[in-house]
Amino acid sequence: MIKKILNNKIIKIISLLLLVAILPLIFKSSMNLRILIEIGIFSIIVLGLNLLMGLAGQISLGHAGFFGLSAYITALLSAGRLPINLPIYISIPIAIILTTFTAYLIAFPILKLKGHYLAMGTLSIGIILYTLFVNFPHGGGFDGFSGVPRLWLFGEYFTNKILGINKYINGYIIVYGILLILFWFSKNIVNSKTGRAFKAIHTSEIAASSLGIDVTKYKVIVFTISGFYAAIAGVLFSHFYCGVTPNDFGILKSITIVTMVVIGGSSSISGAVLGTSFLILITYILEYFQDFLHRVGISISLMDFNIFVYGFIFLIVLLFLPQGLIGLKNRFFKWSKRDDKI
Amino acid sequence: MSDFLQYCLTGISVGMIYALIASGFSLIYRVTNVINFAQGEFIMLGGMLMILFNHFLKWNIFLSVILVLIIVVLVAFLLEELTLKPFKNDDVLIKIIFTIGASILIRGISMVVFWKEPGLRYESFFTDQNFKILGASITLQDIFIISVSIIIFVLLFIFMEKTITGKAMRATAINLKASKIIGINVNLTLKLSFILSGLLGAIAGIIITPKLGMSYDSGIFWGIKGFTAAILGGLDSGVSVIFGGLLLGLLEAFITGYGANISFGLFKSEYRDVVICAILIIFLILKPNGILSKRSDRV
Amino acid sequence: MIKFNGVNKSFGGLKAIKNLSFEAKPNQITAIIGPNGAGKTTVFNLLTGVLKTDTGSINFYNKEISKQKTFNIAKLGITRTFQNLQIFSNMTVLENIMVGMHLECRSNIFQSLFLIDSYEEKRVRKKSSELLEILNLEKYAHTNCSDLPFGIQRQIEIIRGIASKPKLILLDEPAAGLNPTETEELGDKIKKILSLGISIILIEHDMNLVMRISDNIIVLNFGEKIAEGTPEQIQKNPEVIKAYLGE
Repeated sequence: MIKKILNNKIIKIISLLLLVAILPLIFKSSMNLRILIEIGIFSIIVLGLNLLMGLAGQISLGHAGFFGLSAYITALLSAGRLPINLPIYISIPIAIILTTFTAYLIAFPILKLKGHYLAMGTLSIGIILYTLFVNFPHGGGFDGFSGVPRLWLFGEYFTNKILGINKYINGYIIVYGILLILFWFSKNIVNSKTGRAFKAIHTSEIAASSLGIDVTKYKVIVFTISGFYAAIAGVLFSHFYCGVTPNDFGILKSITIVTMVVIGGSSSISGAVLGTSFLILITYILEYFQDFLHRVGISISLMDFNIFVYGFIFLIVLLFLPQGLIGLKNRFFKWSKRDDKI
Repeated sequence: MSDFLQYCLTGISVGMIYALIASGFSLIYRVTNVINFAQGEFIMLGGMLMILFNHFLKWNIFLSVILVLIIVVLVAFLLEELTLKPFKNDDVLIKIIFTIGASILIRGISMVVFWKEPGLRYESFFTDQNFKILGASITLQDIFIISVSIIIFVLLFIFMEKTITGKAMRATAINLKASKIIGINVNLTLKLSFILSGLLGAIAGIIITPKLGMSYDSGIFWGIKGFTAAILGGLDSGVSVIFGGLLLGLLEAFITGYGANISFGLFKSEYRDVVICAILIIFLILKPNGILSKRSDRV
Repeated sequence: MIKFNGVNKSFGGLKAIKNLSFEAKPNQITAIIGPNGAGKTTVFNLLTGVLKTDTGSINFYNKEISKQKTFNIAKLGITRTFQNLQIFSNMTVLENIMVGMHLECRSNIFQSLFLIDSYEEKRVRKKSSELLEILNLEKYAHTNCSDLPFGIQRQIEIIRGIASKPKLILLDEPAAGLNPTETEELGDKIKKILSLGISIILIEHDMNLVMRISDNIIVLNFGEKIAEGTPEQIQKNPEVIKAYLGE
């Protein structure tokens, strides 16, 4: 009886909305809100990548590149560093459209590759884009730049002065509002003709095409969509942190994002957010722990353990999850095939 | 003219390193069909451990080399044992993700265990001595790198072609099931492929560090270069990857060298990485079996 | 309906199909038989565009299809099953059938994003359920394919292939791994498919099944056609006997 209530779609939707609404009230401090916003932004990228990897079975090790491309485009166009200076409600759509289009163009050649080759190919794309960020004229080189205008819900004056919403609440509302919408989109895609086509391609491209599915077209579509998600995350990043640096969008970031997909990536889209939160929180927990140790007189730098912990958890999760190694693995690879060649 | 020769020599020297790394990729790929994303970390470990033993702890150089090789071989062994063996029958995607995870882990451990300053080196026998050939200068270290690489390749060739174990590995590479049936210890060959790859990587790391230094995060950098070389030469042949390595080394040397004089567009040396990556992508799509192969389908 | 004309296909040095010409008539069950390695699955792969012919033509209702892509050939009304089951193990039975109706489903991705396609979704879902009911498999509708017994999975693959009401379905060794009872049922189900107006080309090793249900049989050996005819004719054909039993 209770189970039936819990499974009810409407209840789920309402609880989700409640959760999103309550979180900022619980975690009021600006530090906590920053963490939540970071989780939100990366969840958006991970949602997109989840469609590409979990649903359609492709891989992209360069997705931070699209994230960064969109961030850089809107930042450059609106920060007054180029001869052109555009208001953000113009620079944002331009950035998103250009980045999505770039993903679309790249999709055609790169998705001819499969497996390892696709991984390497997308890795190379990530490197190319990263080099672009570093060498962009007026882009500030390795240090990037700041001075990018903030995105306010109803414009700065109205939101901040009249409604009294500070920049963190503002960021939270925007990011999570968009996250919820994209979450809804993702759920809709999964249970649609297109979603089924993606899943079919994941398992057997030959069977899929024998049923009339244009495999190339659908691969391009899913790649473009995931690029679109990354592009949205990119503009949110730029206009919340009000600056960009190349290292936010490098290879390490791409690999971290893939890690988030895998760790949380399960057959339910919510898994994507879980994995993201998990990994991002680790960094902050380490920082917190480090401060604690400092106060007790032990001063070691725990931040260096960051990557190590990532890798460690990554492998542990893959190998030994409590639900059984079959458990999470199967839940992620519920969308995947067992190796079966013709 | 002396410029040209200079670039050639530089290119060949670093090209040999790429060839060593590429051989590591090729070896594991041919036997297991997996591309070991952690390959670059073997090079990094080789270099960093050498610096640790020889430069910081001031141990004897020969002792250090032996220790480094043992440690890296152990890491390679563990890599196969813990990550690839349990998932032997699974999706290629899982295996890729595993080697990625392993490389993250190795890099993470290195960051903690080693130091963060980039580009440190250790003193090799040969560091400063210079030779001039027809106007181009070449260091003794370069000559050392080239000679050691050649010796390694010859040894590898003899091992793969002439010894029973080597032939067993090649058989496993060609047909795993059949090899099992005729009694080849397939598990051993799988482990061996990793161990040899680890050795190749470690040696590459050891001989290149006095010249170019090593950092805890150099792994990916070397891995990508080695992989590109492997693709250029052809992943499925142990011999052509060597050509791939040399080709890549020469390409890079020429682009950096001549590019420095061109101050615009694609040939700026910062864009060298872009050009190399673009070449990699083009090859992956059009000629995944290498520049020498006539086929354009995937193996 | 299907005409192979002088088709040749080689893989490197190996000639897999040698100058193959045959015809499969509509509303019939045509069987392709032959020893292992005779090239039977290659014929299917050539027919569906998975492989390209070296020379020769393949016509479907007088339309040349040998240069077409696989999904386009599906659009023309040819579907297939696979020798090594290619069921979508990551989806439920019902979803597999719904993929089978991909070409019939009229929603596009933008409609899906905003849930405007819900009417179409319901329609396709209903039709797929009905299809399952016709063949008494509706109880498996929401089970994951990977959890089902092999025999059932094979049936699902076939149902998936006919979901879009194709003109022709190619069945590649549908009886492999089935016991005699199941094979008997399979024969009846195949005849039922024929009665739905769908022509069938069948690759099979089970001679009982082939002789029982086929209207026309084509025998291949080493990539060449060595005989063609009705079951009675084939059973008496000395070439065929030689090919199967050796000499």
